[in-house]
Amino acid sequence: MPRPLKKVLVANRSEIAVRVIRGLRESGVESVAVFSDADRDALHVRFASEAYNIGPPPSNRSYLDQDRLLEVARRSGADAVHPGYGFLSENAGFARRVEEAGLVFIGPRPDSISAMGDKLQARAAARDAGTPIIPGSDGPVADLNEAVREAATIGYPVMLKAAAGGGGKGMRVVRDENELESAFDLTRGEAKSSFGDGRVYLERFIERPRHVEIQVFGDEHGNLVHLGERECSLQRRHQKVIEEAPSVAVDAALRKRMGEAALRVARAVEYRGAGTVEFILGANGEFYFLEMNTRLQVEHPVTELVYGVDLVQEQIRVASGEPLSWSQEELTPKGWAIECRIYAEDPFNRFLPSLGTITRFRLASGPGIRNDVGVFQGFEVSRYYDPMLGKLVAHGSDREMARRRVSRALREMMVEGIRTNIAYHRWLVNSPEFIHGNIDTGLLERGFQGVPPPARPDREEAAIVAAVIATHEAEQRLRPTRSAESGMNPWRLMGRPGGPDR
Amino acid sequence: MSKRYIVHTGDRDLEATVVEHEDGYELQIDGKTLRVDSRGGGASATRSLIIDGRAYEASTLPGRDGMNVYVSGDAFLVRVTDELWARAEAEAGTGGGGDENVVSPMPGSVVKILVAEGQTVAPGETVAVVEAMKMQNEITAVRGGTVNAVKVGPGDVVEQDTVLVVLAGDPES
Repeated sequence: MPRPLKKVLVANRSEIAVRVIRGLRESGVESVAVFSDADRDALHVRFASEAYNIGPPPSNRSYLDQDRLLEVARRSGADAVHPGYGFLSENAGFARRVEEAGLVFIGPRPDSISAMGDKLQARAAARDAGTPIIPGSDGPVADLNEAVREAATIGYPVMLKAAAGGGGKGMRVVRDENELESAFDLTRGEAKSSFGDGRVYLERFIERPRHVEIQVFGDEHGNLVHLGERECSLQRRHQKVIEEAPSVAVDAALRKRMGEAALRVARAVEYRGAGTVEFILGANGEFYFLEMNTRLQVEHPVTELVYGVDLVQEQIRVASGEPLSWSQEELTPKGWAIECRIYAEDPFNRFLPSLGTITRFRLASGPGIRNDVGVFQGFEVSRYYDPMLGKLVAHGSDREMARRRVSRALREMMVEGIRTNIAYHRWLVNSPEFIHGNIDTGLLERGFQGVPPPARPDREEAAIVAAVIATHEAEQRLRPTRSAESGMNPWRLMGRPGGPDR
Repeated sequence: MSKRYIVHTGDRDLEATVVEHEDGYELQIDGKTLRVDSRGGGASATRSLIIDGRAYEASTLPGRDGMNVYVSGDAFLVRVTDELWARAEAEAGTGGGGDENVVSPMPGSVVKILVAEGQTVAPGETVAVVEAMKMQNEITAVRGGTVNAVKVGPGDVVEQDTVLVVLAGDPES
């Protein structure tokens, strides 16, 4: 039964809250933003129809505070909750509480979330649905001794994973028994602090694999389609860095096979709404189920661009009880899209997080460019949240066009006040490996460390010029002023902070 | 008036001379003369440069091993010193020796300390784990040495540049 939504609470922050609010506005639905004390100035607060403070900066006292969120939903008269990604998006208990409060949860049924949320249960469900899985421990390991025994059976290298993990957090590759002890402690610690659940399990780590995932979408009427693949092989510490759609490793026949395998998993849990089935794709075209993310993904824009759809508007439509607006036959990819995740981190100093106020900010624009960003000039990047500032996405008629566009856009984008990985992206997208699509999930850990090789000799010369002039002007500013006798030196005046802005 | 600088980039050492003109700078780099029109800088780390007609945008940011320079989106590492500084550095001897404060590179909370007083730490060895932005970051010693003092413990909240561990350098090196 269609039940049009009038007002939706967006239980998230930053770029994804902005993205969802945009979809709501375009669907003619009012939006309710929530914000912590650290986010009063944030973009999502400015773009929403209503906004409410939900507590102090630490997320467990604000964005994860279920009572507070439900209270705001009630107070604002919202009829649905959109969880975004991260935070409570894959928390079945929260989804249940939303439904018990008489609200619509914009996501799958709570039972689907719990079935896929526990990685071990998900593996079993995929196996039962006839989708291949990677060999591993068939349950959490109790202690180090058991981990050592299991790892020996599976065979090194193994991957340690948090049972309640996701989004790349709480995972570690272990190459031999010597590494196992410290990795076991670190992974358990991260699992406990990030997910409140210290259970970890092991599985076989497949060398040089590609990460290829299938977007699925279901409605309440039993319709279920897939929107092809995204390749997310470029990762660091299992965090995705660049994603693209389609994948150079997937042809129409493989797309069909992977799509059907993904739909079997989704069907097994009667999936509703937007979801993603992640696979590891081996060099010979064999693929294994990794996990299912029961939410909208960070990288959903690349699918939107190549399929010409709006996944957030479709989520709203499905949550209103309407049937899917597309059939499988209507869904064919067109062109190519590439997304770069812009993180507040210093790629040339061990990727350490970079915090502070953004003093200057310029987004790229022009043909084929899309920015999904949650920050702006003057915004403070705080220690409390994920370091992702947003996503720069390019679309072109083919992969090379999309690649050239994203490379050009990265040259235009400028952030000052904090360090970002923009130059790192430039290095990646112009590397022979990326140009030829010769990528796998280990590529960034094997290479692409430290300072990139000089891109062009004339740019190196320009770098030297810039460094010398910066040093020279700084020295002129620091030198004790002799202006009393020599009069004002206009060059010095111009270079002084607070002087005329040139 | 001209000023001389020593430039280190990649594995090269170059000499650069800067002369200020009314309409910009004249730079001599490795014997090559460049006319440079520079706009910006000052409060901003970013400059628009026109070097003999070629246009660039360049940002200069201080880094651990020199200046991180971004030219039209590409990254370079450049170290610039003036003659006096270079001489002082040469006399003091570079690298090795000296005490090292291992600091937290960002605000966060200490998850664990992996070393104890009296222990020897190798260059690049992890001494602590600090959690920030939901990630556990391994904090490493640069030069290494013997642990003189451990300044923080698990659960402590630290700011950027808070000293975690003090290492005494090896006097031999």
